[in-house]
Amino acid sequence: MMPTRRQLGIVPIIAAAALTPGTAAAQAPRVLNIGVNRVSVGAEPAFDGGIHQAKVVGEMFENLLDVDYVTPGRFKPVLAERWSRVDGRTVDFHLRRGVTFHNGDELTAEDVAFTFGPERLLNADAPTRGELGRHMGPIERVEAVDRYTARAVMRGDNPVIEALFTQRPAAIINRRAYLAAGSFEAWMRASVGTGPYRLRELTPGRHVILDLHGAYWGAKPHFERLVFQVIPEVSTRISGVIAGSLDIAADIPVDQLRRVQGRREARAVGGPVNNMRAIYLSRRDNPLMRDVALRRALGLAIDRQRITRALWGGHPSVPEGMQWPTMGAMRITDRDWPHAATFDPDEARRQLATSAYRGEALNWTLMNNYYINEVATAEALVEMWRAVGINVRLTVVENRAQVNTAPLDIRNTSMDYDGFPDPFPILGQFGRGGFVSSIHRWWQNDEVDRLGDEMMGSTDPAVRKAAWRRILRIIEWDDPAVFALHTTAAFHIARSDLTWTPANSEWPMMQLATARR
Amino acid sequence: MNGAWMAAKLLRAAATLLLAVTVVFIVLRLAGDPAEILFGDNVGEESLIRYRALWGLDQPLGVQYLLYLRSLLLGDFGLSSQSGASAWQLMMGRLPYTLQLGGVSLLLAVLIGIPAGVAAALARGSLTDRVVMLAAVSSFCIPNFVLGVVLILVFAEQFGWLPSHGTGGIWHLVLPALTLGTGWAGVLARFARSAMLEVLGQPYIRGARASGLTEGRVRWRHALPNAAIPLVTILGFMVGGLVAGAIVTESIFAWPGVGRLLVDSVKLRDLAVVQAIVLMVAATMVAANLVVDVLSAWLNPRLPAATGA
Repeated sequence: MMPTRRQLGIVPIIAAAALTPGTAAAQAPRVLNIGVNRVSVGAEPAFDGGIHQAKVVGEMFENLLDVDYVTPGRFKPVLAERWSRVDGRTVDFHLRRGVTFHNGDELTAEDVAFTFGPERLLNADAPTRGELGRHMGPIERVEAVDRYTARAVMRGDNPVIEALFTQRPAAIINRRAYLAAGSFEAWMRASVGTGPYRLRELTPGRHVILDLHGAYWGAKPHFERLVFQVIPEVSTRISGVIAGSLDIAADIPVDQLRRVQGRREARAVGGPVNNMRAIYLSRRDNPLMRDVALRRALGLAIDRQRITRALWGGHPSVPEGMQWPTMGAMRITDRDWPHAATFDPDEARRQLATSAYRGEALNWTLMNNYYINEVATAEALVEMWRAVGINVRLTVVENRAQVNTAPLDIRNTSMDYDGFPDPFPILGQFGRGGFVSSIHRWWQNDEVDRLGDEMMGSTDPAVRKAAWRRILRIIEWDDPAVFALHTTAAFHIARSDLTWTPANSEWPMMQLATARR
Repeated sequence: MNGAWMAAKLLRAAATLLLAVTVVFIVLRLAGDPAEILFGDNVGEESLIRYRALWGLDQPLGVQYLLYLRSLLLGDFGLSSQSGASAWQLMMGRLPYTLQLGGVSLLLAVLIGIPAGVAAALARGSLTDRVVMLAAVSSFCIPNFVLGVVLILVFAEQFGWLPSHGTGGIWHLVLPALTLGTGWAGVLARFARSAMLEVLGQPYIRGARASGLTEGRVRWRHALPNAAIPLVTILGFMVGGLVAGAIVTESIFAWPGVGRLLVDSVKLRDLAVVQAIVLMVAATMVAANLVVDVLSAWLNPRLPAATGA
């Protein structure tokens, strides 16, 4: 007997049922579903510097102390309930009692020492050394003084020791679990911290599931499970929130926020974060770029307000050159030179007239929107430069290796300053051993190297501020190395019934332990 | 079907696989240093050198290639440089999802496209014919990334009838399968119509009618099997391209198939995983072509493969 049309119609459904891979077990109550564009292959705080990784490990791990985002320019205790300076290069961290790791172990100074020890971090062969371990370079050693006191010793006098310990690779891990894992790869899939959530399941490319850490020392989170689902397509993430299958759609471009305007199911959250977009000026490959006047003109020709209005809905601000508001006493407010975010096209033309530049093409190679609005910003900049007589050739490539091997005169960057009360992150770019000056050798200045050593080797505020003032003048005007574009903003879309405010830091960005329904 | 024909086909298949693997191997290595792509900007040269040595990327390209071929012959597809997991296992972990989506989409395409095309051919010039052809052309003209988003907006966001993304049950399959299957159905409908029209104009069909057979018997027993030959060829291409064709759909619906694994691996230059997937795609294509050749020979005994000519 021939099958009927109705019988034929159910064939795909039967086939699908037969082929359906195992479905997930029933979820626990109070689950928070977050749509993200990516998850890392492991949950280790000192592996993978991406923002996608910060979202996950920020809920699992904690540092000894953190930047106080409520009181800018200060630090707040986390796993260390207090800390004290022993001398210019030594700090004792006094641990909070009764803190337990996800595996039930009590937090001790041995765990803190191991976190920074040669097996994991502070050794050239350590598995995390390559990417993030390098940020911990000023630390000579961390040792246990007693069960609840860990001592950090720097390589020399250091005025910003506390700031080092707020960074992501400085999150504290469990020694026993690390050693029991047997390999770094196994550890990344079974990592153990003290944060409000513990790792339940990590499937690269698909999802990460975190469960509530029942013995968490801090305020109990509302949600018992966090599910980070990888949904690469922005539009699908937003639809997921509107349809109710997601609670949060992370990392939404500004121009997509209007999709939830006036909707009762969802709302946009977020705003400016502690991050700045800037442009490096390289004099490595092109003799023309050694001309100071040309580099000054490149910075002066940019109308940053127009970019923030057109591409960011006016959310980010234009910074006061290469400084940020939380620098506190170190902030230079009485410059006698144009700062690195000044828009003055007439002065740009005057500078250009004094240079040897005669319209030759300058090279700018970039990836296709690695940063949000990257290509659109670059195209706007090229037109603004053209308006004052500078010709820039834009080339879009696929990956970072191609950017770094191309002839390079201009390069964009995203600088994370994370609310630090000190300009020391600038030296990580332009000072001795810095990313710009030493790793890629796009720009280097002996005086900045020397002043940087002076600034980082002194605890005298007057000496440090004088050194910083001169460094700032050099990188912004005397021998321009960089100019600022604007601060960055990060936005998410959340269900309207969710009470949640993400932090304005780059890490931890989500603060999901504070979310409530 | 003779042995020499089959041996020649197999030899050509092996050469195709070798060519695919070689091209991918060279292109991936010329398109950026995996060490620089994997690590962030703030990494010193010492770390990059160590990484390259660890993964054998510091060796001459020819040596890397020969070592890779030797591993392949031993059944070793290598390890993912991202996770340290076996590239083969990573791929096989995703394959059921791609087969599930592709299989259902193909089934939908066959069940909708071929009957629609045949119906259009039998009613040539009528309103039915025009409506079917308009729908067919529209369906394969709309890119998957447009159709997928529209389906999500309507059925997930507006009406809330179906899930917008992910896996977990049969309903999760509906929108991605429709997205992928609609275009294929359009292609099959067009081919089915033209194949059927061509066959219906052949002398043996007139002969069948003249011999007094019913119109139904002429159409289903004499016309349709002959019209199936080009359709089998097209279906072979579709099966072969099932993995590659699902990349966009898998990304839109966050479907965890091989296509998405391929995109992620290419971005991160996870060489072993990319090479394993490309090899699998090439093998699927080659196998599908072989099956098509055999099926065509079975359907049409006059073809060289069947006669041994």
